[in-house]
Formats: sequence, structure tokens, C-alpha cells
Amino acid sequence: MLTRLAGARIVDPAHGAQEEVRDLYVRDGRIVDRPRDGERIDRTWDAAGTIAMAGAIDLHTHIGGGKVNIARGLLPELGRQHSLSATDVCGACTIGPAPSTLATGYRYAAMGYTACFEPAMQPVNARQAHMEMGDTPIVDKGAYAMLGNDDFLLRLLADGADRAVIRDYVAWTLHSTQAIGIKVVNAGGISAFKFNQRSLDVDEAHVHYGITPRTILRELARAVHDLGVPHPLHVHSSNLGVPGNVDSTLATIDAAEGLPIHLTHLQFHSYGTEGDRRFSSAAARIAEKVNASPNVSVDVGQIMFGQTVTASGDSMLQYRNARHGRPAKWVVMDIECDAGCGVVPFRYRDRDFVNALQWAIGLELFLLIRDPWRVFLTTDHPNGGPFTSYPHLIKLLMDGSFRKDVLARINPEAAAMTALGSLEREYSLQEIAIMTRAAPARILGLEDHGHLGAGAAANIVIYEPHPDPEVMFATPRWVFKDGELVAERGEVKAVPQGAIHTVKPDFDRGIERRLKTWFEQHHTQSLASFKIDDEEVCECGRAPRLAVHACRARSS
Amino acid sequence: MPLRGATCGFCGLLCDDLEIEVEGAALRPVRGACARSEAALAALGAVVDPVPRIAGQPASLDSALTAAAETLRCARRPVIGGLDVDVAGMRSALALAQRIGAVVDHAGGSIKYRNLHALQEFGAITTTFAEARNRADLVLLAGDGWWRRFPRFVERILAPTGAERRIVTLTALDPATRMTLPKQAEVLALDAPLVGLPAVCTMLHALVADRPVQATRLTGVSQPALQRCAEWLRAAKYGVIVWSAADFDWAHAELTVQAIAQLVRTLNATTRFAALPLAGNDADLTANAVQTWQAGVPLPASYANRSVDFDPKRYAWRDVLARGEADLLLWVSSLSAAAPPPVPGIPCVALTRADVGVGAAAHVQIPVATPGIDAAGHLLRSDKVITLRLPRLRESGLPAVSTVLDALLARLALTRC
Amino acid sequence: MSALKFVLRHTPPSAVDVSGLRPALLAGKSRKEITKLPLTGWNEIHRVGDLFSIRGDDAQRVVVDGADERLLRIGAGMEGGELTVVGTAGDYLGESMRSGTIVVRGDVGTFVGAGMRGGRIDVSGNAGAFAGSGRAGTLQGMAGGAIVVRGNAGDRAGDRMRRGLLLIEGNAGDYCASRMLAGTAVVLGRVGIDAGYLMRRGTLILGRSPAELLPTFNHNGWHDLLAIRLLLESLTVHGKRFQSFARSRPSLSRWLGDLGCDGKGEILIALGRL
Repeated sequence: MLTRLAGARIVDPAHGAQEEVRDLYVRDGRIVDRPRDGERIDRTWDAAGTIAMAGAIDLHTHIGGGKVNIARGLLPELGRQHSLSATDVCGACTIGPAPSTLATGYRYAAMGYTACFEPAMQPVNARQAHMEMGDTPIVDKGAYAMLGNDDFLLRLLADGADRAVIRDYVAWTLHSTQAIGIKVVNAGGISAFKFNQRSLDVDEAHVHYGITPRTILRELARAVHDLGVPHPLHVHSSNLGVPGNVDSTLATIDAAEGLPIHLTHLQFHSYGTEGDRRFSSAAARIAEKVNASPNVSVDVGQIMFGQTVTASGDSMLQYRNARHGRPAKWVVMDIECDAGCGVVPFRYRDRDFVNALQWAIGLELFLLIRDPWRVFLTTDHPNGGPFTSYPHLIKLLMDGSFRKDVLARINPEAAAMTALGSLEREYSLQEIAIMTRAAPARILGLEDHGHLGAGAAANIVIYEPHPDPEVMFATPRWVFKDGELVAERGEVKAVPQGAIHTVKPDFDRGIERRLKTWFEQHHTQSLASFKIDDEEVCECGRAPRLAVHACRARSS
Repeated sequence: MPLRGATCGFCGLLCDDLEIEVEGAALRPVRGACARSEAALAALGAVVDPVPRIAGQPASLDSALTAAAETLRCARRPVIGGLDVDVAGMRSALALAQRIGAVVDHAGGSIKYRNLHALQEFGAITTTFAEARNRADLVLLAGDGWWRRFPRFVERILAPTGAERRIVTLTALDPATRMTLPKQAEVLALDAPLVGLPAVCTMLHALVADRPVQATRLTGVSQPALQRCAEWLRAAKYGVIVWSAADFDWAHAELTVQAIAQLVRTLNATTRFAALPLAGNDADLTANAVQTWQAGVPLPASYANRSVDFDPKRYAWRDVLARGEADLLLWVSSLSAAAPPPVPGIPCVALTRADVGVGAAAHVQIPVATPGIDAAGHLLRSDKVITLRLPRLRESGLPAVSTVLDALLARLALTRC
Repeated sequence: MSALKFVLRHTPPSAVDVSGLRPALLAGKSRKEITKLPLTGWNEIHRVGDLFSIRGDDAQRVVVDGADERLLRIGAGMEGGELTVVGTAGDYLGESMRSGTIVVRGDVGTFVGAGMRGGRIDVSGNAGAFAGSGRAGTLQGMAGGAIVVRGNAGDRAGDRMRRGLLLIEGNAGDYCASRMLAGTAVVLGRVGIDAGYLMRRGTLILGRSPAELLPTFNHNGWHDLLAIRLLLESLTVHGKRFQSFARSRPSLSRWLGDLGCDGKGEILIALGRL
């Protein structure tokens, strides 16, 4: 089966394509250079006058796992108000603050996203995370396993274990949970909270294990790097949401000692303490540091005004911030000597000083961080706002006058404290394509995603140019997933299942002897029950295939 | 005789350390089985060649599926109940519910809802088994039957050494369970009557929050024990309160659960404290979790009119049947020994555990595989975080719930009533 | 112009959401248009004209006659006008209404006035559980307006109530004013067990002494405060029984609680009145 997409302007930054008009060919779900000699073209889609991009990739979106499901269960009164009716191909579902998995898949696909990555899969909860992702149709999925608050690792670090042991444990975790990366959330802090420690700075000792977040960050970044996992250690820094956390964020960057790290939802970590309200933007200082640190990539975690729910592994900070939540009901959980979680609904209001400034800080980061290959478009869905607001966010980045209009409507005190009004930068289409396609594919090691070259998965989005980028990005004319038309002008046309993306670095399985003893002494399931093999993850995740991406081990 | 490692799905603890001898259909537990699982294994092991039935007469699976599909096809207002099934079974049940516009609820929905109500209208601070096992220095126990519903809880979570524990029995413990409490634990018996629990919870809250309450107005408990309990609560470094909502079998018990949640929240202002509700029996958490992630709202739910809605006050299955609105009951069961309830006036199609007889209650009965016995399956554990895979133990030839429901869906797709 | 009247032709096979039959949605529509309006049942869309025979034409005065407990959400979301219900109304009557008046000549189901913000509901018969409360999952019950129940109310009357008046001439069930946040609830008859459980603020006035009060309420003396007197006086517009209650100048025993919660609520118990 050969398909031609004829006449679109190609925006494909991975290949440097700057809106050149050419035909795309798709054979059996893959992009090919051209037809073979004499090969029949089975179908041609006339895409003249449109813009073609690779399918978008969200590298940080909470789409699956226990905490998202807690959020759904916590807010049924909001969920039921946002009902999506069944169609011939879609099931009935809801799209409240924590959308159903069905709605998540449908809406991501209809918006031109073809791969989503769950950033906080707790190893003990990995099966459920894969199941929820499995019921998130159409898009490809992958997940980062959370480490850095698990008692096993903290004990290793406290005992000064050999780096090779830590490396083996990290690799074993990637294998056993079927993850594509490693995330650390408030390094050591979630565990410290279980010992009634209420805050933990980068150089503060964990009250029980005596080690600091800096050590945890350094050792995990090192292990991920040495194993050759493409995606750098994914870091949710200390002190999320705390005024003045700029210092711990800068210290977190230093803790990596030049090794690659990815700082996630940076907006929530870029706060100063200036002004009468002791809350200010530190985006400029953070951006300066990021610009000067080529080992660092970030995603922003932009907040969007409206009702949402925050679901985070960071039980320590979610507990601390819970009093600001609306509606005023929340869940905090300590989890299985592994991690924790906190689910707190939020209603971000543009007339509220803090919320308005948070909004501005996120945009400042987008505009001040120069390299679009190192800054990614996220709202930390659903924590800063729903992924469905991405088209609006893209408009804020591409349209300076629109941005200024919105700025004029937010809390005036906050507007006076942000440099946003003086930032004239407008993102180009090319830059949007980089930050939503080419760059996330590259930083995740997805060789065949995020571009439109031969051999790539035929995840292709056809946009109709529109003066309003929000309109253009909200409802692409066509979205193809692995060559199949899955959405047309916002309507889902087919509901295939996506693949699961993982990495499987080499390691010494001898680590299992140590882990088996640990499980017997401390856990409430066996090591064998904990591990998820390839066949099982495909069953849980309803995945037609497991895409295992290459790791190239590096010696340190 | 082959000895197999097994994970037991007959309560929410999902113990994964069982060893079972399998010979033909017979299942002989060698290690790790509690009274509850022994009973289930014996019942399932004694069944010889269960067959589908139509109007009580043996039938082939194919004709039973055809008869079931016919019945389903003519229903306009179907209820899907039972739902003590694994993740795959629940996925299939929801696909079918979408197709036929059913109201969906778990057999024990009203029990589960005691905890869920409090969650949705207040919130919760909770913990999991390994946290409790390793960290809890104070454990409060409430209820009059959790030891029957979760027989190995004490052995697996409280008894292993590690933390020095204090234990408070808020309501009386049965003597046998009391004997199993860890020897080194300091035990305080508050032993309030179960009906007094709502007031005990709020009184303890008032005491730990230093409110000017008249503790002596709480009758039925020893005053020194009450005061001591409040002191222990305040002194705990990592306290845990344990109950099973099934024990809270009185109207509006969700308010008591909320009172517990409020007590726990207050304690966290100064120390660490968490709730550990015991649940997950008959896969109630599994059914609810799958529904919640797929639809975005929990059970009970209605899939009528091609949309999904949630309302525990309208869609509880017993209420729907009692109101006489439904015209079909599809009972989907694979773990529980309970038969579908007889509902006069409407047809019933029942998927049941192999050993369950339905009598005249169901027009069509299809015996199905029990997860962890006849088929592999996934279930959620009591503490909601852990999902375990229950491997298959024996070759019984019984079809999995998902297989049967998928076949029904496929047959429904062929024609319309 | 005469009241726009909907007479139920037959009991529908399953519950039907009839919130569409409210003045604001009917105003300006022809008889023909109204006849064709859809009402949602269970896998079934009823046309108004199939379910009801229609008389009259004044959409500001709507009557639902021969009501049945399968008619749900009568008057839900009302924003003005009058709605009269004759017969037994189903659950969620007047849910989230903002203004206007609903008069029920008969009984109502559960959750009457759930989450209402304003307006007035007057029920001549009994009300089911959760009168003046809020739908499952919401944090607040009624937040304004008045509900008057001439008969008895079920359990959890005034649960999570946030503002407004809930007046019950007869008895109320168990856990009356549970989790109450603010506002005023009055029960002239008896209440069941555990009134005021988890009450945070607000006022519950009881015409008869309950058998037992929760131990987490503290006695705070007998009160004859001006504020209470004014409050009682304001009730007199709600009918004779409230009039005679207020005029009897009852001596009120005041209890503060629930101390197992925030403890800033009050239960006022009338002693030796009438």
C-alpha cells in the first residue's frame, strides 16, 4: 500500500526543511523517499496549500498511573460536566480536569499529537500506568520510572555503594517497569516527608539516610548517562512552587556536574522573593543559566487560567501547597517504600496575583531560553493546565500582540512585576516544529519519530494555514498515525493502538540477588511479582509492538 | 504432583507467596493459603466439567453465547452487575456497556462507596502495605470482621518486625486475631461498640486537636483508655488507621470514614499519619479503577444515550433494579461464590465462577475462568497502587470473562433487535 | 394567558430528565416547538408531546401535573418564573436553581434543591434524603434561597449546606445538618440520630429535644439573643407553623459543635414551647 501526500509545504526541522513544497510517500506505515520503479500509488491526498509536520510529541504529560486515576476519582462532579458522546469509532467518556484515558487519546490525536510520555511512573505502580496508557488510544506511549525516593536506592547511597551497583539498579528498574527514562521527583524529599521532614533543600541532609538531594541527583544523572539511556535524567527539582526556589533550581543544575539533565516544569521552579508579596519572577536568572549550560534541557510547565488538578509524585510539596487548592479536597499518599503522590485541584485565575505571575513566568522562560532544541512546550498536563490548551499556548508564543493583549488583562500587580511586556520574540513555525517534534524525538532517542525523512513512522499532520495559530493548531485537516488517517478537522476517524517505547540498557543481573533479599525483608510482594516482561507489558498496554530504543553505554 | 507458585485473588491482599499442588482440577494448598482461599480452592477444585446452561439445561458454549446475545440484543435498559473480574474482563465489560447503553456497577458498589464518598467530599491521606509494614509505630484497628475478609493482614503487614509498634483496637478484636498480634507490641484496647464508632472518631479528633470537649459524654468506652489513645495518637511518628468499609455496615457510614480522614489530616499538622483502608475484595477496586480511567468518572455509571454519567445515588445496581427500570441483568462474576440475585420480571444472563449454581435466577449461565486459577489475570491490591498478575494454575478449558464478553459483543455487532 | 400545563400521559419506563420544562427554556416557543422538545430517558429520547398533554400558554407559570417519581430534575437550573408540580416529584427537583419558585403539591424525591443558589421551593408533602444538600462529589450543598418542607424530610437534610434556609415542619431523619457549613436549618418535629455530625458552622434549630445529642457538642446555656429572635421572626412569612413557633418565644438551649470538626456550628433546641 503506497500513499502520496501531494503538495504540502514541509516543515521538518530535523532535516532543515524550511517550508519546501514536495510530496510525501508512505508505504506500510513508514515514510519512504519515493515509489519504487513502476510501483502503483494506491491513494493520493491532495494537500496543496497546507503545511505538513511530523506528529507532535509530548514528552511530559501525566496520562497514566495511579495518581491521575485518583484525580479522576476525586473530581467526578467536574468530570461528568464535560462529557464526550460516543461516535461510530469512539467510546463515551469525559474530559474533566483529569481527562479519561479515552478522551486523552482522542483529543491528543485530533490535535496532531502521535506520541505521549508519562513522566512519573512509580515502579510499584508501573503495571497500572501501562494499563492506563494502553487504554489511551491512537498515540504511542512511553514512561519514565521514578527513582530517588525509594528506600533501596537511598540505602545504597547512604552506604556509599559502588556506582556500578547503582547503575545496575537503574537499568534493572528500566527493564522491570518497561520505561524509557528515569525521573527523579524532589530528590529524597518524598522519602523525607515520611520521616516528618517538611522541606529538603539541595544540600540539606535527609533526616534518616543522611544523604542530600545533590548526591541523589548526581548519582542518578551519572547512572543514566553511563548506561547510555538517550533521555537524560528527568528532574523535578526540589521546592516546587516555593517562593525563592530559584536558588535550589540553580543548585540542581550544578548538581549534575555537567552531565545531561532535563529540568521539567521549570516554571514552577523559577520563583524569587522580591516585591511586597515576597513572590517574584526569577525566569531571567534561570534562563541565563540554561542558556549557558548546554547539558540542560527543559520543559516549561506553563500554567493556563482555569480549573485543573495537579497530580504529582511530590507528596511533600503537594501537602504543603494543598491549602491553596480549589475545590478544597485533596489526596496525599505515601507509597510502598518507593515514592508518594499528591493530588490537589487548582483553579488558576488571571486576576490572582500569584497565578498571573506564574503565567507570566512560564512565558518569560519560553521567550528567554534561546535554543528551541532545549525547551519544550508543556503545561505539565494536567498540573499547569490541560493539554488541550496547547494551541492557545502556541498562539501566545507566536503572536506578540496577542500576548500583550492577554497581559493587559491579568492582575495588574503581577503584570507590573514581569518583563513579559518587553519581550518581543515571536516563535516561528519552524521553532514550534522543533520544540514539539524534532527536539523531543531527539532527546528521547526516538530515531523514527519527530521527522518526515525516509524510514520515519508515517505520523504526519496536515495543517491548513490560518492567520490565527490557535485555530491552525487546534484542528489540523488530517492526522495520520503510522500512515492511517486517524483524525480529520478535529474528528477522530480511526482508533488504532499505539506502540510502547522503552529502552533496555545492558546490566549485570547479579543485582537481583540483592534485590530479592530486599524485597523479602521490606516489601509486600515478591521480586517476581514486581517485574513486568515484554509479553505482559504489551498485554497490559494493549500494544501491537514494543519499540525498544538503542542505548550506547558510556564509561565515566 | 506439580507444585505451583500462586497469587491469590480471593481477597484484596493478593498474597503472592502461595504454593498449590495441582492435579487435574484439584487444587491443594501447601503454603500460604488462609481459610478464605482454602474454601475457594476447595470449591473450585471439586467442580467437574462445568458447562453452560440455557434455562437450566446443559448447552454448548456456542449456543449459550447465541442465546445470551439474543437476550442482550432485545434489551433496552440493561444493567451490568457483579464485576468481580480482572482488568481484561472489566475492559470487555465496559466495551459491552458502551455498546448496549448499560448501567454499570460492582456487586459491592455501595460498600466501596463508603470510602469513595469521603474521598470525593473531603480527601484523604493514605498509605500502602509496605509503608505500614516498615514504618508504622502506631496502628489503630477498627471494625468487626476485617480479619475474616483479609485473613493474613496481621501476619503479612503488622507481624513482621522492624518498627516498634503500638496497637489500638478501637473496636473489639476477635480473640483468635488478638493472639496473632506481634508479641512485642504494646496493645491498648479501647473496644468501643461498633455503633459508637462515629462518635469515637470525632471525639478522638476533638481530643488530639485540644478542643474543649467533654470526653466523659462519650459513653461505652473506658475514659482512661480514650485519653491514652489520644496521647498515643499525638506521640506517634508514623501512625496508621486500618478499617474495612464492609464492616461499616450502617447507613451513612461514609461520614465516619470522613471523620477518620479529618482526624488523619489534623494529625499530619504535627506528625505523620495515614489511613489504610482494607479493600479490593471481589475485585471492587479493579472494576472501579478501570471504569475511572476509561471514562474519567467512577462507578456506578450509566452508559445510556451514548454518553457516560456518574451518580452513586441513581445508578447503584440494587436501586436501579428495585425501581423496576431495567429490562435485563447481565451478571459478570468470576471470583465470588455469590450467585446473581433473582430479579423477578426481567431476564438474566450470568457469567459465574465454575462452582456457582444459579438455579432459576438466570436464563443463560456461562461458567468462566477464575483469575489466578483457570486463567491469568490482573487485579488491584487493597492499597490501590499495586496491580499484580495472577498466573494460571490449571488447564480447565473455562473461557476467560473477556473472551466470553468479547464474543457477545461480536455477535451483537452482527445484527440489531 | 393561562399557565402552561404539562399533564403526564403515562409513566415512562425509566427515569426521564425533565429539567427542560422550565420557564426560561419554554419562553417564546410555540406549542408545536414545545411538543417536539426532547427529554432524555434511558436509551430513549421522549418528545414532550409524547409524554405529556399540553395546555395553556404562559411559560412563566408552568405546571407539571400528575408528576411521577420517574420525572427527574424538575425545575433544575430555574432562573425565574413559577413552577407548580402536582403529584410525586422525582430526585433532584430544583437542583442548582438560581431564582423563581417551585411549589410541589405532593412529595419529592431525594436531593431536593441540591446545590441551589436562590429561589424558593415549597413542598406540601415529604422530602427524601439529602434535602438542600449537594450532588455527590460537590463540597457544598444549597448556597442560597429557601426550601420549605411541610411534611417530613429524610436523612441528611441540610448536609453540606452553605447558605440559605431549610425549613422542615415535620420530622427529619438521621444525621440532620451533617457537615453543615453555614446557613440555617429548622426542624419543628423530631430529628433522628447524630444531628450535626461533622458540622462546621451554621445553625440548626430543633423544635423538639432529640433523644440524644452527639458528645462532641458542648452545652452553651439558654439563649434569648436578639439575633435569634430576629431570625425566628423572619420565619413567620413561611407559614402558620413557623409563625406560631416564633411567636411562642421558645427558650433555646444552645449547643456548640461539632468539636470533632471545626466546632463552630450551633444547635438550638426549643424547650417547653407551644
